[in-house]
Amino acid sequence: MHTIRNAVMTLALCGIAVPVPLMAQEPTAAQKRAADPRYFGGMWQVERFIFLISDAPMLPHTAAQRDEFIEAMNAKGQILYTAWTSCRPGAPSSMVMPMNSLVVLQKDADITVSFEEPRMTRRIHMNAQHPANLEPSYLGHSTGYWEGDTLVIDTVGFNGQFQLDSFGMPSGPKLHTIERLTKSPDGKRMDIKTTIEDPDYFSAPFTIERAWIATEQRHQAEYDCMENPRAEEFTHTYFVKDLYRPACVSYQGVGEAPSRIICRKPEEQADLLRAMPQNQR
Amino acid sequence: MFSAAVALLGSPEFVCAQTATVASAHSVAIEGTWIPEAYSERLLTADGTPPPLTDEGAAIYAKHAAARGERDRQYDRTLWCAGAGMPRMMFLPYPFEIRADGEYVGFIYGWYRWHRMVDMTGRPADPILPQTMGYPVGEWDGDTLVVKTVGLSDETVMDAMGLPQSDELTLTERIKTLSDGRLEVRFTIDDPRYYSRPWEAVKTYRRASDVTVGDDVCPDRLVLGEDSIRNTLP
Repeated sequence: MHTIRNAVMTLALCGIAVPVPLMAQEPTAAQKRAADPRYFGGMWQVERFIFLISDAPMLPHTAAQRDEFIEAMNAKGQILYTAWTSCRPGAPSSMVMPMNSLVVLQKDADITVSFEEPRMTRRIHMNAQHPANLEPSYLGHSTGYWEGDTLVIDTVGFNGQFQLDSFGMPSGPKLHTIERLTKSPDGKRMDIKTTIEDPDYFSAPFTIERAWIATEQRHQAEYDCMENPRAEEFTHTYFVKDLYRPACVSYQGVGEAPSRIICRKPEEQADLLRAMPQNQR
Repeated sequence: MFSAAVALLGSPEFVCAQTATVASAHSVAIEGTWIPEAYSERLLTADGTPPPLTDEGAAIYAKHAAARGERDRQYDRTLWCAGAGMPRMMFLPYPFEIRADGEYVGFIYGWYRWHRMVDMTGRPADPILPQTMGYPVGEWDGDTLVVKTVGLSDETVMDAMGLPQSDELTLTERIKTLSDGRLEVRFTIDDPRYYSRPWEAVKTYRRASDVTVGDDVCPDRLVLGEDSIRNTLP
C-alpha cells in the first residue's frame, strides 16, 4: 500500500495525471514543500512587516526628495500619501513591504502569487523572455528561472507611478528588480533577497532581505483598501503625486443628513473639496 | 499502463525531473481564463423571475431603488472602488482566471486586483470576521466543483440594482464545463434574512484564451473620469 501511495505521490509530483480516486491520497502542500525544494505552493505568512528601505544608495536628488517627505511628516505632521496608501501599489510593494498572507499556485509554465496586502496577483512566466513592447504597468512583467533550487524572478516594465517604501522612496520606468527565493529544506521558510536597480534614483543596485513562513492558515483575510476613503485622512495629507488625490471622499453628515461617500470626476474634485467643511478638507 | 508506471516508480533509479505540480483531471477542465457570456445590471433567478425577497429584504431593495438614479448611490460601494464581494464578483463584465494547485483553486479576477482562494482540504470553513469574498471551501462532486462560502459581509449587494445580501448568506456555487466547452456556474443563494427560500441563478462563461486578466487599477480609472465598473462586456 505504501508503495502505491508513494508511486501516486511521485506521479502527481511529476505532473502525470493519475486516476481521480487515487488522488485522494494526494500529499498535502506542506508535505510537497518538504519533499521538493522547487515546490513553493500553498499559503505563507510574511515573517514581519517592514515598511522602510534603509541604506539605499540614493542619488542626491533622491535624498533631497526623501528629506522633503520626512520634513512633511515630522515637522508638519502630515500623512504621506503614496501609491500604497492610495490603493495602487506597485509590485515592489510585495517585495519590500508585504503584510499578512500570500498564496502560491505553481505550474511548470508559470507561478502565480496572490498577496493579501498589498492586494495584488503577480504572474511569473517561467523560462520566458520579456516582451519587446511592454506596456508599462504597476506590476511590470516577471520572468522566472531556477538557479539550483533558488527561484530567480526578473521584473521590468514598471510605470514609475509608485514608491518602494512608506517614506516615498521613488521608482521610475527604468526600475529593474531581481528576486531570489530559496526555501528551507523542511519547506517551512522562504528566504527572499530582492535586488533593486534604478539608475534614475540610485547610484548602484541594492538588496533587501525578507522572509515568508509556511502557515497552516487556510483562508486569507481581505484588504479592501478603498472601502472607506475617510475625509479626515486627507486633512493633513502630503500627496507624493497629484494622481493620488482621492476621487471619492467620505462626507460626514451634519445633523440629520446622512454621512456619504461622494465621487466626482477630476475637474469636479476641487469643487467638492472646497464644499467640504474647513476642518474636513 | 498505470501498474507499469507504479512498477517503474518502485525502482530506486526513478527520478522525477519535473517541477512538482499536482494535476487533477477535474481542475484542468475548469482552469483557464473565462468571461461572462452576458452582463446585466439586474440579477434574476434561473427561471428569469425576481428573487423571492422577504419583507425585510424588499424594504431594503425599495430603499436602494429610490436611490438608484443618484450618481453617488451609497448602497453600491463599487462606485468608490471598494470590493464588489461575492457573488457579484462572478457577475461583473470582466474576465477572470481559474488556477488550481495543491489545496487551492484560485479565482483571479480582472476587476481591481481581487482574488479568492478556495480551500480544498475538505475541512469546513473557518470564518473569523465577515468579509466581502467570504471564506470559500470546495470539493469535487464528479466533474463539478462545489464551492460553499460563508462569512460574507452584508455591506455588498448582489447586483447594480442593489439586490441585498445579509451576513447570514450561505452561497453555493456548482462549477463545471458544459459539453460545448463553456463554463456554467449555478449559484444557490440561501439567505433566510432577505429571501423567503433558497433560490438559484445561473451564469455561463466562454473560454477567453485571447483575453488576459490584466492589472486593473480602479482608482486610476476614477481619476480619468471613467466608471468604476464598465457596463458592457469587452
